[in-house]
Amino acid sequence: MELLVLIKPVPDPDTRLRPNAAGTALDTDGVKWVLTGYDESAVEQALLLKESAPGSRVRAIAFGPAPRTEEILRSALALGCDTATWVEQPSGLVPDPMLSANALSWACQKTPFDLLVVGKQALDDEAGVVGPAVAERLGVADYGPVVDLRWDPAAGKFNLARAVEGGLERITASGPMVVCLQQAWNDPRTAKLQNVLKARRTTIDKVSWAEVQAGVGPAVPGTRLTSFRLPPPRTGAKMIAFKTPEEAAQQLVRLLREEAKTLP
Amino acid sequence: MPLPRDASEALRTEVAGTVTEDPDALTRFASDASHMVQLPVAAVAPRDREALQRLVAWARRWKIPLVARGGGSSLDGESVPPPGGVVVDFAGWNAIVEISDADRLVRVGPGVVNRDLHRILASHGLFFPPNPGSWTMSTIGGNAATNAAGPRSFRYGSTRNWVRGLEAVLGTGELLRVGHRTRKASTGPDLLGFLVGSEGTLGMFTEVCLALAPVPERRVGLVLPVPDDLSFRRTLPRLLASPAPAFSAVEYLDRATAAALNRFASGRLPEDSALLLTELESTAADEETDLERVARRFSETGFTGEPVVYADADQLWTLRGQSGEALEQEGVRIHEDVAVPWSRLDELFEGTRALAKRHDVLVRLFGHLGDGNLHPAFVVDPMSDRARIVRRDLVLLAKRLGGTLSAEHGVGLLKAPYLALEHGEVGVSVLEAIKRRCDPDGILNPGKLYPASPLVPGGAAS
Ligand SMILES: Cc1cc2nc3c(=O)[nH]c(=O)nc-3n(C[C@H](O)[C@H](O)[C@H](O)COP(=O)(O)OP(=O)(O)OC[C@H]3O[C@@H](n4cnc5c(N)ncnc54)[C@H](O)[C@@H]3O)c2cc1C
Repeated sequence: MELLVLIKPVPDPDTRLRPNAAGTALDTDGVKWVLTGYDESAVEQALLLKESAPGSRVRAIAFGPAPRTEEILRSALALGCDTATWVEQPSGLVPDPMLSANALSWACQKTPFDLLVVGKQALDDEAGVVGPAVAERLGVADYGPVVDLRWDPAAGKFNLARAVEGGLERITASGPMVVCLQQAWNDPRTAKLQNVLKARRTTIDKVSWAEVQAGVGPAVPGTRLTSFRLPPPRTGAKMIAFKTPEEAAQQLVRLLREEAKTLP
Repeated sequence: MPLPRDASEALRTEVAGTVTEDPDALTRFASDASHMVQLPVAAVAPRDREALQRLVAWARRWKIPLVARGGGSSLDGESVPPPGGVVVDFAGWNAIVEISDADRLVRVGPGVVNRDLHRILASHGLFFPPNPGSWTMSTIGGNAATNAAGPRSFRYGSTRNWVRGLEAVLGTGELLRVGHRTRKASTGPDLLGFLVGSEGTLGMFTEVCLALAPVPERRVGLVLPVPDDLSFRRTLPRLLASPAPAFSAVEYLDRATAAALNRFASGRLPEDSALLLTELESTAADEETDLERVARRFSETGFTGEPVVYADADQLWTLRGQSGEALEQEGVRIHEDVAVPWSRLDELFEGTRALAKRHDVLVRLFGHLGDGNLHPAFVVDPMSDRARIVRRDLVLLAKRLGGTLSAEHGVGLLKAPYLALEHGEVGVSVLEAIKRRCDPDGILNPGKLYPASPLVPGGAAS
């Protein structure tokens, strides 16, 4: 089975994020970029499928600027992906999700695949566009948000479960197809030291920006980020003085009504 | 028992800041992480230095004990209020006063949380190395007052090594400023050193000046399964035989602790084995060579387990910091802290297991192995007599092996009776003289650190 997994370098949730001086984008100075969240679950899922169907191979594909994109591809290789493709993003270009989907779909169509796994959304912009848009570009079905995904070797089909309002929807489908994964229902693995060393020596295939443009036409973002702010700082807590629980509840209701105005 | 009416009125008129006397609101100040509970009579968040000095004057006049409190995460009752005591809440004193890139220093209010400081300094390419397991909740003031340490202290040492200056209000109300902005000073005994680790018994810190280290270009965590019966006396010197690879942390989890952590935090640690957790510092250019060196060093040391890599070392340390909590889920109530020289580590492991067996309590063993520092965790009612005897026997064992009765958590209430075992009678009397000068009325955190009466084995504590 040929498996593709799309990943994206995102700011480490543990770094202190702040807007740039103009307030139009994230200040990327000093930000650490990591493979995490839904993407990490997607890699894990691709590896689990690979292990369940001997002879399978996993290719990780990422679109983004050097060197952070190469680094997360090496992380994916260290976890057990077999090959990796870096889709070049020229410096200065600020892509939007549709542009990213176009660039990635160009790289995906270069390799025939049975299944393309992608996180439901990236942890930074949480747009959730890339998976469905890549499926659309490639003309294949897409399923999401998926919470269980298995290979049935006897039937030669995938069994998957989608989280829907109030329950699970079970689907049997055959590839090629795109699956958008819910986060962390598998437990992503840690890399073995030997694999980390091997990943360093693996050559990462490159798809140049010129090639992308030749393939999908001149790529210009259709949307532009106009302002970027941190949420307002939380204001101090208010302690309620009370003698009995009843009194505390009464006071709380009064405050919610009169001060916070969250109750009618 | 509430504050006397007159004392309460005087407090509110004399001390600028927030005063809490409502018992329900005070419950959050009543304990630390040690399971001991004592409701304070009030909590005060003084507005500034002057208010703090007035608070001390008030406490002296009314003979009311004060306990400084940061994150309240101490493990031996350090920040548990003394009976009838008032909590001085420093959590709001969390200003970053100065970051000097040129001098690699930071001056902070004592209430700054360790990990917050870490995040703030990251954009300067600098960091404060001690990262206790409690780094998400403990404060710089608390770290300095307990001389706290963390996994990276194997390379960088305890908080003591990084405190350059302190400003403190003493139990006399005097303001003391000690330390230097310089890297060295040869000007007599180390006044700063008396205050670091003093557990709020000599003065309350109002500002801390810390030296900082440059952030290494690369840091990875490496976790290695090891046999249960590993001899540390033989393996540690081999593992750490040369400066390269540069291990900056060497931690140990026994099999049961590792399993508890995996259950508690879905830790992705290798299953069914005792583990060594290490950190490697490197540069982008050298990382590959260094990782190869690590792989070689592990096998030269005789380890056959397959190492796994945490690309984000801090993720590993945050996980490791939850060991205590994970073990609490499984009944552990005593988190101990002793250290011995490397050559005696095997005896410490054996001795601790033997004493647990003797007293019929379960024990889990983990700790900062590279520092010879073990945290035996016992499943026993913390208020029971058995708990006291287990602790006493562990202290005696560590001392017999040439070690210390507390490597990093502190003395607090629980180990105060054994202070003379650590410093000797003469040492304790010198410490007491310092206490009398700094806190003549004994209002600062009484009952902690200093034994009420010097005790030796066979004394009242035994
Ligand atoms: C899960 C967990 C993991 C831990 N891991 C570690 C570890 O790896 N290494 C380690 O060393 N410790 C560890 N500890 C113990 C504890 O977190 C440390 O002792 C820490 O330094 C306490 O900081 P704090 O701000 O919580 O201090 P508090 O508990 O508030 O106070 C501790 C002592 O410091 C004094 N103090 C606080 N603020 C001031 C001030 N402004 N001026 C003067 N004195 C003051 C208090 O009076 C008290 O005596 C751990 C605790 C927990 C709960």
